[in-house]
Amino acid sequence: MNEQVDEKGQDESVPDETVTDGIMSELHREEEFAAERFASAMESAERGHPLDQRDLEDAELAPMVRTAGLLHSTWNSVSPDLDYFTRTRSTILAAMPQPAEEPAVPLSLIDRLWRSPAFTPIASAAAAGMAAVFITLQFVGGGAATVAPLAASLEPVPSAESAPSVTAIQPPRLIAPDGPTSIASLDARPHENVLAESDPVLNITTALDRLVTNIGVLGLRAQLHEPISAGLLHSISEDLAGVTERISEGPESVERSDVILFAQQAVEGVTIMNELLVEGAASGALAAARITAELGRSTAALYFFNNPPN
Amino acid sequence: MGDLYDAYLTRVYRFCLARVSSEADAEDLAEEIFLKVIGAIDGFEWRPIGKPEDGRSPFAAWLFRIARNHVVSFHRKAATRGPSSELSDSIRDERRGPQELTETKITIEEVFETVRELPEAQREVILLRFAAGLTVAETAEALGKQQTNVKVLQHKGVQKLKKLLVGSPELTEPKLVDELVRRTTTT
Repeated sequence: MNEQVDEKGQDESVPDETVTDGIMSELHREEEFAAERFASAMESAERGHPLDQRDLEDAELAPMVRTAGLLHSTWNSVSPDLDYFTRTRSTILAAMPQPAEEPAVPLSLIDRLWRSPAFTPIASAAAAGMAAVFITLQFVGGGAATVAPLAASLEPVPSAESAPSVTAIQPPRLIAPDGPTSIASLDARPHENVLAESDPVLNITTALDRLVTNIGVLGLRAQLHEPISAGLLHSISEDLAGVTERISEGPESVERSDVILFAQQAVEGVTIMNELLVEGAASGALAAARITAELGRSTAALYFFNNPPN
Repeated sequence: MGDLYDAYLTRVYRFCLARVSSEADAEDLAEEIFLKVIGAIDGFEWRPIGKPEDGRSPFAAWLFRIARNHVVSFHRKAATRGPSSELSDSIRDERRGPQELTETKITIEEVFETVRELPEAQREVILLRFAAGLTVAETAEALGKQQTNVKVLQHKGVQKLKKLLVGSPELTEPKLVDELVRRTTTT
């Protein structure tokens, strides 16, 4: 008689299925716990946070994090040749489709008012009024930390194609005590493809002003369930991309307050656009605007990381 | 698109290079992937991953899903042509990379080869996390897996790499932890 066989006729040396499942489940839990802990340490390191002292002294975790560091270092040291980078960039941009025509969306009340020649002086006055409101709220709120709510009378800064009637309007400019601040410049620019090269000579103040206005208008229209035009989204993308480029290429040439304002707009833009649902030609423009807002947000975050407040 | 290209080309290239081992193939693949992205951008659907403040990009996950599929397709075609070439001399000889790699004689090629020894599922996660620079959430999205599974695969993969690279002074020198923090936040 085999002594290892118990009353149930099972071999005691082999755990029954329930026990095996229990052990496996326990092992699985331990594995998941270790994986979770490692992922958490990695995430912390990747965000630039110092690692927990306990993690650094952990005989299991610390070498894992070092291995991960080695992997990061290895891949970060590999980059394509500059020639290839430039050549392919040209190929990719040349392969971009030409800008789609404006979607045939019905004009909103705001659009109709804006496009009316009779509205031109009203628009100018409204813009100047909003500038005052905006700047007042900025100072009340402690500088660039507060973004003024935009009134329903504000309109997106249009392109030459979409609203030729505004070409002649001069941008109202108000001078703040610590430097020039203005609301959106109304200078019309050709309706260029936002996915192509950005404006080589970007006036960051103008771009930011325009961005504040257009993000405000976007939020307003989203709230009112008004149609969102591809032109508005293109303009937002263009300014986001332009300022992003300026911050990443010449961080020393931008004011911290500008980056704060820009970060607010990028975050605001992402929040609004996450809730938006558009159809037709504007959907591509929305995707591009979301991506540029996301890139802008990351760039601003990197700027703050590299330039901590004094 | 210029901004997207600038932001992602290097990451796409690194991902491709780790998968195909040949600079020329990696360059061709990266370009083809961007051309695919242009053709498919209208089909990109915005679906937030995690909390907005986490900075996780559904676009990155989408882009690398395209990249991964394209590389898989490349390998399928290459299987009929024979094995791909080794890492080019320029990588082997000139791109030793950061100082600590050169000092300790671990080359990029050695790390790449070690990663290649991982099981497929672990390798994919490691490449998306470290070569492509995706977060766990983005990697999960790109692979269509649960985040928990990605974390487990990442853990197993790094654990195995640690064993395979054991004896490397890097893994006993704590300075790489600081280096990790510095590099991941400045690239």
